[in-house]
Amino acid sequence: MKHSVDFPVDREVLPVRSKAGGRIAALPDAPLPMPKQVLEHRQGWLATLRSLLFGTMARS
Amino acid sequence: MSVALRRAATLGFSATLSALACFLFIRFIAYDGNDLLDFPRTLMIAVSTFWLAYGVSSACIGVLARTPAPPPHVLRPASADGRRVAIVVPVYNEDPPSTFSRIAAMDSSLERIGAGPEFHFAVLSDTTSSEVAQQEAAWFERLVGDRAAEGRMFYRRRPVNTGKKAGNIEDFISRSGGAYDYVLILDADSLMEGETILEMVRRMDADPKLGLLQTLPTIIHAQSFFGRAMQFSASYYSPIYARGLAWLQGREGPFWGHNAMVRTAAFAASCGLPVLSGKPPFGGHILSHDFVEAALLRRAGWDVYMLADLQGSYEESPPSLIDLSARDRRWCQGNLQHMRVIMAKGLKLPTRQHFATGIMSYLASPFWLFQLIVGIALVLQTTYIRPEYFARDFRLYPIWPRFDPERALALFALTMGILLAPKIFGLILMLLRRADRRASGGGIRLVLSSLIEMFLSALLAPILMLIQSGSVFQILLGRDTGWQPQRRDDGSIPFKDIVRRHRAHTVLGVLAGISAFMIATSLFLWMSPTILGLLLAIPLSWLSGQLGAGLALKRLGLLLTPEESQPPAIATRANELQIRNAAFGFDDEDGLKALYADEILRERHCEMLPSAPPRKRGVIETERALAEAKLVDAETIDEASSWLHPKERMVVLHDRALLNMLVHLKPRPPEAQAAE
Repeated sequence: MKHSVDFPVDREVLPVRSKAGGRIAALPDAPLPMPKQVLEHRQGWLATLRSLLFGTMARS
Repeated sequence: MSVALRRAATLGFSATLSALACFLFIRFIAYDGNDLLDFPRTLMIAVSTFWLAYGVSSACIGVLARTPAPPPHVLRPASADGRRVAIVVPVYNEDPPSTFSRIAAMDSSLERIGAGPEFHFAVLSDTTSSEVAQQEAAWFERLVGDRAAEGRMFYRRRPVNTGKKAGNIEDFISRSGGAYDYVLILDADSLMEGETILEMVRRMDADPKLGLLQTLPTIIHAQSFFGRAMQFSASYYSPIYARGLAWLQGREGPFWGHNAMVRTAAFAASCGLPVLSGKPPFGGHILSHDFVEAALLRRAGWDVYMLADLQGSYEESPPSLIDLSARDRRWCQGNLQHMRVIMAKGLKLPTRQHFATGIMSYLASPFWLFQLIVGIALVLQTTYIRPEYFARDFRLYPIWPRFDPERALALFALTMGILLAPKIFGLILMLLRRADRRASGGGIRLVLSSLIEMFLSALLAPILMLIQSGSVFQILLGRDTGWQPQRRDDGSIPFKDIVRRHRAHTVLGVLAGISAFMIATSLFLWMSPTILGLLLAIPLSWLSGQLGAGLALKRLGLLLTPEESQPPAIATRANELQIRNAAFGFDDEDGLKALYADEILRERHCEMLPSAPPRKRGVIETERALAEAKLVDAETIDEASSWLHPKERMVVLHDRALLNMLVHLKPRPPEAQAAE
């Protein structure tokens, strides 16, 4: 391999430098976790039927 | 009336219409001499009519209902009152000058009402083309300079677009969502007035249970014949449909994926999308994520509300039939994938109904196709095969098979009534409103425009039916990807590609026409709208994308919308900026060569790159390995640039080590250098 230079990395995300040479701030470092939801846990037919019969009227 | 009662009444009305259609259909087929397929045919009529009638009911309600009471809000001065709002613009190989012009126009609109500082813009790029990515970075830098937006405009690019648009938004919220109370989710072609954005903040602020606020985007900027027809149709039909939907759905409204504001904490806590088990098209990442996110918000107890009457929210539409069908293929796959989640535990009933409506909107096409095929087959049978005159049960008279035009006409009239009623109601409303009538070119032009739009829709309907049926069959067979059109430099689709896309539709039209004519003239006439649409598939598709046809109609004052007559201020501003930006003209640059030649650009580019995760030993990424090998082999930048394939170029663009190899290449061949 001709070149094997790697660059030091000290940031997670993306500051950009402005035309004037000043730094543009990176996206705020403010993590907000998004827990994965469960969608493949199915509701039984009976429960669906129950909600079908009573669910529509239960809430306005 | 409570929302539940409204919904129950609408369902009841739709069921009644469906039953009426079934009654007329059974009356019609009673004497065709064939009983075998009567049950599935009637069932399909029942399901299709019910689905159609429910959609039409929403539109009719939209004509009659008053605007639903919006969530309460307190009028505040023009500010977000300390709230921090992120306006996110996910992009994927879009045209950078247009996208960044729109952002500049929105920023300018916010600034004009004194609401700038609390609103941050974040361009979230999932772009896979190295050239477009390079342009985005350059345009972003120009945008920040022009708008003096350091610290409130951001750009970030993901090297791998995991989870597509939903994954892109999730990545942003996971990293930076904690800094914002609300996130306004846009598309690359979205445009919103500053006052509209501020009003959304006020509504969210005043209603702590509100998790998502959806606006109704108005279609603007269409130029082609097809685009302008869709734009015209949407201008008078969408508002009444959306008003009806809002009346019916209340606080269990829809999310359409863009031009909507979410409460960040609610969205983060409820909308982390799982990867479905199994392979695409039914497994894997959720494609039509917006419906699912609305469902998850509702499941977690948050309200989802549509503000049908809030003005100042815009989007663009596909310019041709082929563009529409390419988008439709993605939506079809996404909606059919909802079959996997429709029964998920804890979802609200209206949510399941949304899913069912979305699924049915695509299953309706194969249903219609099935009806057509069976209809032809049965007429063929009665023509060429001796019918059974005597049933097994005792009858005094033989059964004479017959095609009853009167009964067929009754069924046809009901179907047409269901299909056309909302459009006719919308037209009447537009005619009654003086301002709208004038803005659409006057009463006569408005009626003529509606006739053109309805005629075009009727001709395109059978083509779309075949395209959608094809998509459904492909997906059911497990095919993940659809057909993508090639484009010329001016963005149009080559004629040979149009022919290739529609030749099967034309052949089917010819076959159906000849068969119907051989059987009976009445059958030919009965099927003529379908046959004509299919026969004209190629010229219609070509014409649909023609700018000349669209603009000629515009000059005649036809298919005119209020937004075309009096363009919204923000659209005018975005256009001006786009024209100015287009004049800069650095869009054709080779991204890698630009980085090679410009040290400062390269330095800035490297600063923007996220950290690369450490490579696992033994795991070789094919594209990276190939890119590295080609860079080792190349002697000049021209060689490297011509050898690297698009995916490899993208890898180079995201890899500091490979970029370093690139900059060490020679500018021209050694012999040329020696000659100097």
